[in-house]
Amino acid sequence: MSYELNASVALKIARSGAEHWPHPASGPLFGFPETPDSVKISHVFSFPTNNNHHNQNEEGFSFRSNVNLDFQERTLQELNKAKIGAQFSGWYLCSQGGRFITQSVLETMLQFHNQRAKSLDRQPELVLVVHETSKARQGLVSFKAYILSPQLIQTSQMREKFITKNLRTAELTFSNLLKEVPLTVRNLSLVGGALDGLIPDDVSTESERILALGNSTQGDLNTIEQLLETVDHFNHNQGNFHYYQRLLSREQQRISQWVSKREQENAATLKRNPNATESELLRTDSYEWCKHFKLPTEPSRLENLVLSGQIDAFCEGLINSADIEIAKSIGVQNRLFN
Amino acid sequence: MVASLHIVNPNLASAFSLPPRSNTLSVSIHASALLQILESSYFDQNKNGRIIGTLLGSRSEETTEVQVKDSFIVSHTEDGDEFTIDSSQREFVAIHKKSSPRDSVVGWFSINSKVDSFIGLVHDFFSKGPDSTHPYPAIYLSIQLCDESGSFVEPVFKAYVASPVGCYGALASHLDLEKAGSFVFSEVPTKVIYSANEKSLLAHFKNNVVEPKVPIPQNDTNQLISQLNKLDVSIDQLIDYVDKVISGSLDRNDVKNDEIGRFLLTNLVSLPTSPSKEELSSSISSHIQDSLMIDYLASAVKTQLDVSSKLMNLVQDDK
Repeated sequence: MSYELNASVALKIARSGAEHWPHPASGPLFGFPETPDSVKISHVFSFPTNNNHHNQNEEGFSFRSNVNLDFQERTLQELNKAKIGAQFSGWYLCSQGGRFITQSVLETMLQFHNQRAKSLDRQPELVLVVHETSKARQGLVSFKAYILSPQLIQTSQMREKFITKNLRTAELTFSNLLKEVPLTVRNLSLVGGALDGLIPDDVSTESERILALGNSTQGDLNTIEQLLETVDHFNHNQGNFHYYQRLLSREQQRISQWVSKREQENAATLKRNPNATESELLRTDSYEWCKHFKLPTEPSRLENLVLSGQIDAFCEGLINSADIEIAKSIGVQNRLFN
Repeated sequence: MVASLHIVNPNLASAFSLPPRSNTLSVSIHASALLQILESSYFDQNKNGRIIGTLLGSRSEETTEVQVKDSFIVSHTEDGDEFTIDSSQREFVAIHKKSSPRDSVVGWFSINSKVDSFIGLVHDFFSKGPDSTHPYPAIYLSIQLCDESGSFVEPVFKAYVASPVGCYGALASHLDLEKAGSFVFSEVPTKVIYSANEKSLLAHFKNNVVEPKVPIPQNDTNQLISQLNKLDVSIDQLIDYVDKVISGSLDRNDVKNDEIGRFLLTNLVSLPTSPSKEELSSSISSHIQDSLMIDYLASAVKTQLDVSSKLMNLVQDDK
């Protein structure tokens, strides 16, 4: 899969991020499938809920709110009426670090994927275009496109969904929940010509903010705060899972005690009557103990994967900005003091 | 109202009997809105006839600046003197108002339009009635992509406001003289604006004009490198300038030299007193130490996460 944004779409996403900073912003993308494997995104709208900042604690929560679903549906209808004929192609999210990896985002994407999978003709995967506003504020171009990974789709279709056995079979880990796909921006010769007139040539000090020492500090502080919070959630989630594991091992212990007790009884029976038939012995197979014991069901590991994915992305972001800082500082140090 | 020939300078009084404005109206177009218009024109260029559309945005109450933030094409039909605007116009306005409630219709645009009575009629539509700019005057943005022979040129865009001319009012209609859609258009200053976020993106597009598809840089370090290279060029320019000043061979007629000089003057004067070399050295070293620490801790967390997830699967699988 590959995706292409119109230049105006990329700009609008950047503007939406700037307008709602430091709150997240999101919205639907509409475009034209060129081939089953490539989509041109021509229109973007901002979700109405972007304007109420108070209930946006969870990123991408808004994908499924009724207001936004209605909005998305109505926009699509109008685009079709206006004979633009664009199709719903995905969402954009202006976010920071790995915050966009949430259960809600993944579940929404899965839900839409399943709905679309039912239709007869093959439709391109829905894309999630992520723009990092904090990086853009440093003067970096930061757009990434993700689709659901085949591993995640496979696991979601298995029985019992996100249990450890299935994760192993599908080889799903926290690092491949989403798959990054190539993203380009469409360059119209016309727009190219227009750009020459639009942007002044001067090397402005503003866009070189990435060169300033320590300029990523504020963004990193936010990331570290987020990281601490996510680690807390992660530990909580891990604690729940350990509880399940303790419960499981206690049950398993009781079962093995029960099995060995029955085996002893069988041995005693055989001692008394060496010719005892199988039907006279007590059964010890799993079919039998299932009647007497109930193993706890394994909780879904999805939340754990999501939290791990977030922590991983936060750390990646920190390493990235620390690397840039180190490169800059060492450059300055060598030049000034050696 | 007395029917009379009525010509008002739109800069002094608005078309709809509002209090006179002392300031000149100015139009700021967001780069994304302008690009969208250009893209849609590209998209529609095979169709015959003109392309018109609605401009959405906001007005500031204090200044007389009108910001154009968004646009969409409106389908219409022309039949002699009659024209009809598609009802989708109203729907799209409603949709835009949902995502940005503070914005409203500020005017309309046309692409490659010749000047005729049609423009007056459309302007009338956008100035009055529901979903129009009423009670404010509508902005008309004209965009020329082709010259008269039909070949593409660098886009020219101009914004206008208009005042009605001719007879109107009760007496005029009584005398059967009323005629809607006669306007005097006068040009207002226009500029393109963008946020800092958009600026880095625009600069990136500009650097890649020759490519049919502009790749998005995947790596922040690469972007750092390209910025450093730019800095290198600027430093070379500066050194060149300083050398020329010292040797006295500076070309005084070059405007660019003046700019560099002024830039140096403003920036060097406002520089704070520098810390001593030792202080600077130690604060840079401690910055490097801090960064290394972050790097190390973040890697440690990542590794721990990896190990934990592998162990989890192993432990769980054994049971």
